[in-house]
Amino acid sequence: DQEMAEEEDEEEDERESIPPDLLSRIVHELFEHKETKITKDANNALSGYIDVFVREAIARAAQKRRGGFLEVEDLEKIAPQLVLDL
Amino acid sequence: MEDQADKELQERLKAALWFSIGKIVDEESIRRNRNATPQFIGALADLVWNQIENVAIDLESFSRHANRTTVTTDDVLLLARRNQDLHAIIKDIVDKEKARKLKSKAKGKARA
Repeated sequence: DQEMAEEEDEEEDERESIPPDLLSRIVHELFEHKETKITKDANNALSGYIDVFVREAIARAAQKRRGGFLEVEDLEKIAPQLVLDL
Repeated sequence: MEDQADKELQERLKAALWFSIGKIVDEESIRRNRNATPQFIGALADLVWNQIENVAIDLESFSRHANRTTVTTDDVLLLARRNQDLHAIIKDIVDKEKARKLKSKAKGKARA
């Protein structure tokens, strides 16, 4: 169980995140059954999960490469474990 | 015909997701003083789309298992069952929202 590479930030409110409406739209598109819906609170919670996923991906990729631009291969290196951990 | 419209919708949603992830990457780039190539952002957007797809199907399974057609916060918490830190983060989000609702309910009652 790998520890989170990302440190938690105090000022979470001002951070960028995936717009809840967009996420809701995407999730409804990807549900396998027409009648499946999601509550607003669950959508919010899911938005939090995805934000963690994105930032953790960046944090782990940045950890692997000491300096310079983050590139696709950096993501490829950390993606499998990330998906397993989260 | 329906498949084509569906594909186009997915492309638009993917593009919107890509844009939004780009913003998060920009923010992190500033915070970490590290840049990312556009290809990195594209690859990350693909990764996130796939993750959302897997997660959506899991959430749907959880809610159907509980004989519901609507995904709730309990289902989202179940997603995080394997990772203590992640579970704590999501629980915090859910609890904060519950507290916020309770607070505004209390305010409403006080006025009446």
